[in-house]
Amino acid sequence: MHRIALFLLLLATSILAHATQVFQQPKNFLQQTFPKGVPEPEVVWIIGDIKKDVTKIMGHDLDQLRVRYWMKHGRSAWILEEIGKEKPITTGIVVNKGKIEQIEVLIYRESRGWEVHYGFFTNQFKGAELGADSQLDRPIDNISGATLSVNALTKLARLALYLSNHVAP
Amino acid sequence: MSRHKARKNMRSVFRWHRYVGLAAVLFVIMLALTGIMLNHTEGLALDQIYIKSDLLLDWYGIRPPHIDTAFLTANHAIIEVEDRVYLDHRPLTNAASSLRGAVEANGLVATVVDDAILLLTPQGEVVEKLGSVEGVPLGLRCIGRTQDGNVVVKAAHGLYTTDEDFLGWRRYRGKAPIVWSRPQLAPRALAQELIHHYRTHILSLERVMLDLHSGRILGSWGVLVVDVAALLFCFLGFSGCWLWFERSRKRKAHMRKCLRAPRS
Repeated sequence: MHRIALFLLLLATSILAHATQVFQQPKNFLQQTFPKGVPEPEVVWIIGDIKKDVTKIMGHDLDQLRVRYWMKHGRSAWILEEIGKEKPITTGIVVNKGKIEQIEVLIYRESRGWEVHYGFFTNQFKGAELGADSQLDRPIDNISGATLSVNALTKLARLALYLSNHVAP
Repeated sequence: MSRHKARKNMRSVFRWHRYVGLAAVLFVIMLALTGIMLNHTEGLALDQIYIKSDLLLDWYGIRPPHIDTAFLTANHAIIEVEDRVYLDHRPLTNAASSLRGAVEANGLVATVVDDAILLLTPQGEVVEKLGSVEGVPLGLRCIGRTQDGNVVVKAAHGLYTTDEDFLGWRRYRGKAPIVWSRPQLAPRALAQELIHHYRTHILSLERVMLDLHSGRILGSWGVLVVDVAALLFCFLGFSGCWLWFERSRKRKAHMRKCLRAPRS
């Protein structure tokens, strides 16, 4: 009996570890960010010098020509994706006056590294702004076993700051 | 052990050392070359170089693919080949499978792939991948256009349409007839070209190097052959050390004997 219970527990853990974890639907993230009504989406085109800078920030071509964002009263919300190890991590980022106001992992699809969705990690980004060479103005502490996810979120934070500086300088 | 027996043993080990060395030389060269190449995979971009030899592709069992679905628009052909989607001759990097239709609108090609719409330039660049985050309705089944140019999709809960920039989606309540994108036969020449492209862009040189290095290129027997070669290398290491040690010991003994001998 104990063996069956242990087997089921291991099976459940294994399934959970590989399942897509939706922490918050992107739609809900936008409604939470703009409680008085989500503005119409706008787009920023990833061409010319922006493309070069974005490629430098991400370490690879973004592989899309436009990125959409939602903006109201100088606050912009970005829903961006970056692959941690194998699968994209969907992240919601709110930028206000050139600083990160909030960063949330919305959908996590990797099998390891989901700890990045916890507040103890994401709170490090609050108030961060873009410094020299499009780097964050502060170090972000790593989580052992989740290095690739940490790197992915850090890149997305830099990307959101860079693009928001471009659309609302 | 008598001196005669010791000398016989040494000769025997030396002979085996020589034969095994000769047998191992090909493996040493092959493993060294493949090892050096694998050490510099990124620099040499081995994963970007694809094998085009029919002999090797046949050896790996890579057969010409089957063309599943093709959708033709006024100026383009969007074709699904196994797990890839092509816009004319160009493979789309963001597309997985389950191509469900394509239409041209406002200078872009809107292609339904799985539960998303890929907005493409006529050159095949991805403008944006539209999914549920971008407001695309769930359960996309097909895409079409009305006679007045509106793009309409059929989703799990009905018909939806979008604006000219594909930024928002709303229920379609129009009465104009919709021309749906339907699967068709791919143009013969293009199909042949894509079949060739697909087959010659699967097997990377990195894969072949890895398989040569591990012996897997010859299947499970190849792995055993490389295992045996590794054991031969171990034998060569031990026998080489032993021969060197024995010779050194003998040389020293001979030197001592010479030094002790009375000078005439």
